[in-house]
Amino acid sequence: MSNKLQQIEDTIVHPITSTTRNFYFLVLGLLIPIGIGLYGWIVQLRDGLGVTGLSHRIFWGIYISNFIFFIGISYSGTLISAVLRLTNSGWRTPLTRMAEAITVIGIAVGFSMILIDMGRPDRVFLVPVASRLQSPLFWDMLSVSTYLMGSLIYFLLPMIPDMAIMRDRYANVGGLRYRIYRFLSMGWKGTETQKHYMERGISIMSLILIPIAVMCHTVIAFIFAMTWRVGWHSTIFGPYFVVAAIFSGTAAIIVAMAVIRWVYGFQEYITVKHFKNLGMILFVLLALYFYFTVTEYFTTAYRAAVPDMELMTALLFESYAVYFWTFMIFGMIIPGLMIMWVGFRYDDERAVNMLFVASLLVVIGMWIKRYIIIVPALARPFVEQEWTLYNPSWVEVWITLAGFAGFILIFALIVKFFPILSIWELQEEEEHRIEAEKNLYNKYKEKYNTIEPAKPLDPDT
Amino acid sequence: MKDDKKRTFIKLTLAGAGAAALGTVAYMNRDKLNLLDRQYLAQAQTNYSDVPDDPNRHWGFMIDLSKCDGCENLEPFEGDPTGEKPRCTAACRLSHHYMYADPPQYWINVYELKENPIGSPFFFPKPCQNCQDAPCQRVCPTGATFSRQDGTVLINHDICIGCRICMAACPYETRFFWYNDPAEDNATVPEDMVYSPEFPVPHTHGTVIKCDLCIHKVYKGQLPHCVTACPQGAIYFGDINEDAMANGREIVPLKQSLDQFGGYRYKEEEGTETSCFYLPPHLEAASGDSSTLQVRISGRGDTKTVKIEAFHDSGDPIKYGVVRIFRESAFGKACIAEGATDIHGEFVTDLNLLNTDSIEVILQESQTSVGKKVVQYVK
Repeated sequence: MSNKLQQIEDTIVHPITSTTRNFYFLVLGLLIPIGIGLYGWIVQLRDGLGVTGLSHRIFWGIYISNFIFFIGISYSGTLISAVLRLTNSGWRTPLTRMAEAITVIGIAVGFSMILIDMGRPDRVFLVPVASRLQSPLFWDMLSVSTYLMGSLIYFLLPMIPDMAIMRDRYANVGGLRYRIYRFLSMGWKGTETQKHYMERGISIMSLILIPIAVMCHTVIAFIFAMTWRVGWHSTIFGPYFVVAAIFSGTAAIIVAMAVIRWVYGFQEYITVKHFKNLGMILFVLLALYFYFTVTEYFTTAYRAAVPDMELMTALLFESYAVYFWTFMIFGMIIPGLMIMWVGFRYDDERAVNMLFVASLLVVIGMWIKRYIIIVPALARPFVEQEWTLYNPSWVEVWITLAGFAGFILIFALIVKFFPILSIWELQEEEEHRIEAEKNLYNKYKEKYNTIEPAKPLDPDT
Repeated sequence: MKDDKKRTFIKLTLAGAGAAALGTVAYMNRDKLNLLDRQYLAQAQTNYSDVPDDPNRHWGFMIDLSKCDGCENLEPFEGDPTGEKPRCTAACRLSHHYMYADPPQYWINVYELKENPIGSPFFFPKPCQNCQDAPCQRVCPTGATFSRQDGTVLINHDICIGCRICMAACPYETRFFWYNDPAEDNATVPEDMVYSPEFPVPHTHGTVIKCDLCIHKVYKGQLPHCVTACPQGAIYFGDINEDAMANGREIVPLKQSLDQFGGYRYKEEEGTETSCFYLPPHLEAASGDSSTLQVRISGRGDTKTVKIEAFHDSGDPIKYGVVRIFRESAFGKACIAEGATDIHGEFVTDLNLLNTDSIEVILQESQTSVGKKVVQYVK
């Protein structure tokens, strides 16, 4: 193995083998909101959902917003990994692992939000037992659990060769870690047959996962669109949610990439070009989501049915206008302008910084958007003449914060235990590059025997 | 060769896991195989032998909006912590043991609605509309919401998971949730009371609840609590197939009433096929009794505020009575104002009474003059 390949491995494995004090501080800092959130959940289990700010009219609140938000974030893995893999986009290599990890965590956290929201979580297994095909919630359970299993496989499958590398590294150390790596490497020896089957597995999984992810988000939209509610019963809700999910997922991966890059110094592998490419995808999705939003609200507003207009007025000008315009300005327009600015002006570190800020704004904006999809539609009276008020209680706020903290914590732990960049894929890429340069070198040598072409970059060749 | 063996092994493992999963689900289902069977649910959970399920029945409400006065003239119901007046709500709370529910529940609720800017507001009692194509039943993931054969939509609280999607689906806001522990309410339940979807007490924390149409009463030939409690007799209940509706005082034919008064179903356009019919606010038939007409004139200057209050001798307000005000002046007699009393029997208007000696107020109710008063107007 050449120095260069060894260097790739060492750099990527470094976060696993060495742990700084800051990491422990981070974990500790995250455990505080998680602890309070857990306490809040225990209180809620003991006393019932009465400890939340929910009421008979606003019966779904920020738990459901979180659910849609986290499942949406999970889309990043499917998009970056599966779509870019299928389209053979070479630049995706260092991003896939991270994206796949975010997918798994996003679904897990989102799914737990559903459990927390239920009045009787002890009866959750009645849903598969009853298997009522008429119920959108049953579709939801089917699609989310399939999505979770699929993305878990998709997370673990391309990691097998890396697990083998880790297994070999920990062979002398032994212990639980070694056994976990040995189990996850599934007897990987790097033979041609193994490689062949793994790569076929990856292609099949990426093919399967894209429709599953689309269905999953469509079905989540259907939970709302299938009801008799003004503001929810919309024909474009399925695609609207799917685009929202890809949009927020891409923003989330940019945020995660930037952080990982700064903390572990992966500047060599995650370059400005990666950010600019993802920024372009983000901009297209932003435009698409903007288009959907305008379509949804403009058609409703032009027709101006009374119940629709009650909702629209509250959203645009009255009680929910703060949320709506925060989302529109800070979640769409400003990030859009920032990405455009990056595209035209920046080619250095400033591009990364600016895209990081823009993506963070998008992620926050998309949480707010989910909130104003759920709450105003419920607050608008069906029969009563007054709007219902909803103030999330401390339990809801802390469980939400715990959800975010849990998301970050699991991500940090995954970074600690698994190589967050795909070692074997980067090495393979490097090998291909060296191979290509060798070929070029030989070609030039044959053609111009007398002229010495530029030397290849790798000193070993 | 080795890889082939491995593949076979993987295939066998996968098949085995699939079979095991199926077996587990089947095993868990063993005593719930007919979970979706309405009859099973209605019977398995019911220990009342006197709540039969007759497919020839179809229970429903008919609510006469012109009779409902929202119990505005009454004191709040004693013992109701919400301090609300409607007797139908209070009776339902008392008899179904949810008086102390927090937040308060309204299995039947009375709203004050105003349909357009010109017409007067009216009171609108709203129980469960008992849809025959019930959205709540459709979306329920466990089949906890079910329809009996007689079309009554009920909830089986033993299998409700509290996901509240039925509350999202219901277009009538008739579903409520036990956010807090109903211990205080359950303490008021007699100890020998056995839970059944037909009479869902004791209550189950963390589940959804709604009007049960007092199906436990109607089979004994009794009327629901809200019907018997209504002081105005505004709520009628009966078997729609029988075309008979009763409010405890009289039995009226449903179809004829609907035809006569332009009856309708609330949110017909939702296509939910509800079993609750409303008779819109209409002029009451001449009651024959004499009535009291009070006219008050107040204000300074030429423009005075004229307030008219009209009551039957019984003390009930004359709702939607047609008021005409005539002016006697040096120029002769002319109608200067026309309008209708509201649900409180009141009519208020501003009139210019310059050059006027006296005004005459005539109140008509359903083509019959029920009151006439000449008021001397002193400059």
